[in-house]
Amino acid sequence: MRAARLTDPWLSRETNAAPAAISRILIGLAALIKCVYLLQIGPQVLAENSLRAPWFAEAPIISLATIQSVLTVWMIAAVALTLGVGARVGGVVLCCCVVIVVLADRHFYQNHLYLLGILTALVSMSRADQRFAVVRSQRHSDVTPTWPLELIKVQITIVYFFGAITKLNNDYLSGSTVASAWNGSAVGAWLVALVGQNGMIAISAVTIAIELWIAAALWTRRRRVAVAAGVLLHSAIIMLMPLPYDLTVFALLMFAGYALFLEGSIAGISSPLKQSSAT
Amino acid sequence: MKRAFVLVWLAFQIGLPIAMLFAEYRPAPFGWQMYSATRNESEFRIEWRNDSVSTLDFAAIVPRPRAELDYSVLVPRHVCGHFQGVRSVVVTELDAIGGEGTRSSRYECEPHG
Repeated sequence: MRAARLTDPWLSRETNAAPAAISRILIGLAALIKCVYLLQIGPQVLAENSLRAPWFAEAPIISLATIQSVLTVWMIAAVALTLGVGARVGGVVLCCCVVIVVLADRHFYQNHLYLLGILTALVSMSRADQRFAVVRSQRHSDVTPTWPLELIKVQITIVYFFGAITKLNNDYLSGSTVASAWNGSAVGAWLVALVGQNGMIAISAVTIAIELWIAAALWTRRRRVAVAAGVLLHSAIIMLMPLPYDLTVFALLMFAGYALFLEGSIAGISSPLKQSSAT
Repeated sequence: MKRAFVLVWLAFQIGLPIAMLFAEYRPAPFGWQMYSATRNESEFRIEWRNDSVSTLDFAAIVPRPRAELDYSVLVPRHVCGHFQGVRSVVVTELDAIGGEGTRSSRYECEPHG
């Protein structure tokens, strides 16, 4: 009873739909980029001679044609989510497509793909299609339930927190993990050579500290500074590491969460748009 | 109903990464363990029944390797299952820095037929 008294007001709370809409658009764009990338790598991963890594020994082998069909549906659902046309259905369909692709082979598993599945599920539970949509819904309202958006914010924090604490090991703190990753890109390799081993040790420690700080600071008054730090962090990651497509998708998903943390600012920016559309 | 969903969701999203902290193999999937560990590269030597030996082109069968996967188990199983006439596969884990062989293990294929 006491728990119900505490949670019920929170569960029935509503908030401005603009941040959720921006979040929806960013998730949709991330899904579109990922879809194009998966269409490129799918034939390699699922080639006849390629090693297949099913999640379970007796799992059925999923063919390339099946995955390509799923990715076609994925593309349509991602466009729907981005444009806000049938966005909630699009989000659910997209989430199902992500699950199928991830389950098809363990080579498809990537942390940002898992995050994409989680965020599409949650954003579909909000009314993120109420703002910045190409077609306005008939039951138009400028508000959305808060709880799915709060769960997205919690998820962003979980990603940063576990991303940081799992790096607390000798391998990572020695700088070798970051150096190995950075050596895959021209700019990263140049920086590794420039700062040397001691520099890489310091950079490794700093990245853990930044991730932990962002996880906490997003919930405080310093959230704008945390968002700025996060944008810089992800921009640096994209520049310094290989796999820019994957890292861009990851960054867009984290930015989708940032939009919800900046709720007050975004709601303020969106109000002139609301006025102009009403006139 | 909504309250139960939120509680189950939170328990799962917090509990799963905690469980993955104790996984045998790092980085473990579903644990947000991005770049938390690097895997040493392995070299795979195929020993054929006609006593010849060849080195496996790893990139030819694993075009998109994942850090979460233990190829020292998966590759020998794949080679024995897909290539005719293989007697055994020797896996040598290469040291990430020196490139020297550090640890070898032999996987005997079961004879076909």
